[in-house]
Amino acid sequence: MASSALQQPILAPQEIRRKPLTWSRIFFRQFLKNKGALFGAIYLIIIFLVAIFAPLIAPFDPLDMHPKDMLQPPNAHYIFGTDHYGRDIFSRIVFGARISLAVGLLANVFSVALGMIIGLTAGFYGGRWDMISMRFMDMIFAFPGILLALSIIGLVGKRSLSWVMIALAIVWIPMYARLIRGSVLSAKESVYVDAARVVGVNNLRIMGRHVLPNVIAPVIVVATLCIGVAIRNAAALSFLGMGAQPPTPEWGLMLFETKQFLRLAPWVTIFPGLAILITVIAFNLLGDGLRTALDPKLKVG
Amino acid sequence: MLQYIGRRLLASIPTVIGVCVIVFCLMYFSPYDPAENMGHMYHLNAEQIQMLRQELRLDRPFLDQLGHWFANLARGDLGKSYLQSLPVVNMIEARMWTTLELALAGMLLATIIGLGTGIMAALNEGSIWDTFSMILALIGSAMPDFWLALMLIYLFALNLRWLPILGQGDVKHLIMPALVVGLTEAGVIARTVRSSLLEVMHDDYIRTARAKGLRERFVVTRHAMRNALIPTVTIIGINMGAVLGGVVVIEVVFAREGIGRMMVDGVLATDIPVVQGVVLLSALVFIFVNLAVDVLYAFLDPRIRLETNR
Repeated sequence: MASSALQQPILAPQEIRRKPLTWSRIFFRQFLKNKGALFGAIYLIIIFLVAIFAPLIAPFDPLDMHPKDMLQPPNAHYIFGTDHYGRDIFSRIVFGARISLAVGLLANVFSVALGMIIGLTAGFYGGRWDMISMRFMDMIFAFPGILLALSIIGLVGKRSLSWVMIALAIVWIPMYARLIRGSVLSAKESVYVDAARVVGVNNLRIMGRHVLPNVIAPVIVVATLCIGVAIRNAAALSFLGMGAQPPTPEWGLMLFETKQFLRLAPWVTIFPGLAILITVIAFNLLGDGLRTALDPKLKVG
Repeated sequence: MLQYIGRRLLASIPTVIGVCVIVFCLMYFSPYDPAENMGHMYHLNAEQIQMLRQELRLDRPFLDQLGHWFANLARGDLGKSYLQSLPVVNMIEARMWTTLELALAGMLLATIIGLGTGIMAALNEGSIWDTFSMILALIGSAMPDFWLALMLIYLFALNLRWLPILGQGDVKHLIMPALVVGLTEAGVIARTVRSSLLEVMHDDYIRTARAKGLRERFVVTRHAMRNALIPTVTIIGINMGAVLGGVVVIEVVFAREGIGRMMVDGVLATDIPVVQGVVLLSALVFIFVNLAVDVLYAFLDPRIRLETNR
């Protein structure tokens, strides 16, 4: 009978069992499809765990010297071999992970924080502050990254990892500020902000509920990519002697100390460099994966 | 067109002035006191240190020093190195070509490899070639350049003995450094070219061109490439800045007497005029390169030219 057939729900049994389509579900589905991003994520989880549990994982103290065993190739006792002081390279790389990750994360956290203050206010309030702050950002942006970091370190006169971190953070503030300002500007144009204004929601609330979520997504993508770049740049600065000082087991510093043994003991230089390379690749893959996964989500929302 | 160039030039003047002020401020607010340090180095007594300070104008007020700084800049005087007592400008001049040839050779290599790879990858989207070259590009863009330099030295200089390790002067000395710069930057360029070309290729007008029956090669070069070129040119411009930074590390590894190495030596010795001079010069070069890129941009994309004429 036609009428009773129309009164039946049209949903097939399997459709009733399907879970609701939320943002996070869309995100994860997209993300997991991307093999590269998966590799990146897994590697980074491993590296984070290695960094956190370094004392448990490393077979030797990274600063411990065994002069009798110096410059040994990888063997059963010393997994990655030893350096010119007889220190176990594997342990040094494990502890170096702590340092590199910390520097990469902190530099970007500072940068994002300051960039967010500038970018949010510039984008939202506009006017004079926008003009002045963006001009100022342009001026900082005019300096090539590493050179500005070098000059900050040079003019402060102190060579340490903390200053490398501060210098790198300063170098990237303009990038984040512009990025965030751009997101704020485009969010401001959107319909739901207009609607909220019409209803009478106060500015701070609008910033928090409507603008901020749109700002966070690109920031997360860029920050992920930049953590990798920060790790590499910090290593480069340490390689130049500007950052970590001996005997810190920082990956770049390890390359600096052992490059003289390139002919005799190439393994000493292979492993720290490989560590930097794979870690940066992982952050790049993760960042790319996040970008692809987060983008359509923005369109859905 | 000329109007656009003029306007961009005018707009960059405040940036240039601002950059000069920032470089001055970096020095002014730094806790480092060159007079005190030189006093230690040359064992001067307090009175001589004070005289030195006066000579270097370090005791004058902020605006006085700033004015003097700008006056010097206008004359093309970047000060004298604390360490070598040579005018910084002369030092830069002596090393300029070494750095320039590395930067240009590197960018040329990077553009050729990057463009070629990116285009090939985009045109053969999804193939093994595409995946393989993108993996290489990923590795290239993530590669720490100082490590790649060491590995290349090990391979070509120490083992195969084909190329010299240190120094500069002829093509043999340029190959490895340029390769390092080129390979690392090529990765970024390749990925950008590929993604922008792909985006363009999937656009409607390409489909129309194909439907019109145009030859594929014509479609690609005339329509797709021109539009994909814009983000590519931007990336190459931005990469120039990265190259300026990257040259620093590579010059140190290959012991080339270039501006980058001068900067590192200056930083290690806290030779302030050298540090100031190099960083100022690099910023100005970067601004100029970006200006050139913008002009090129406007040339390639007529919309930009016409839009700003409102």
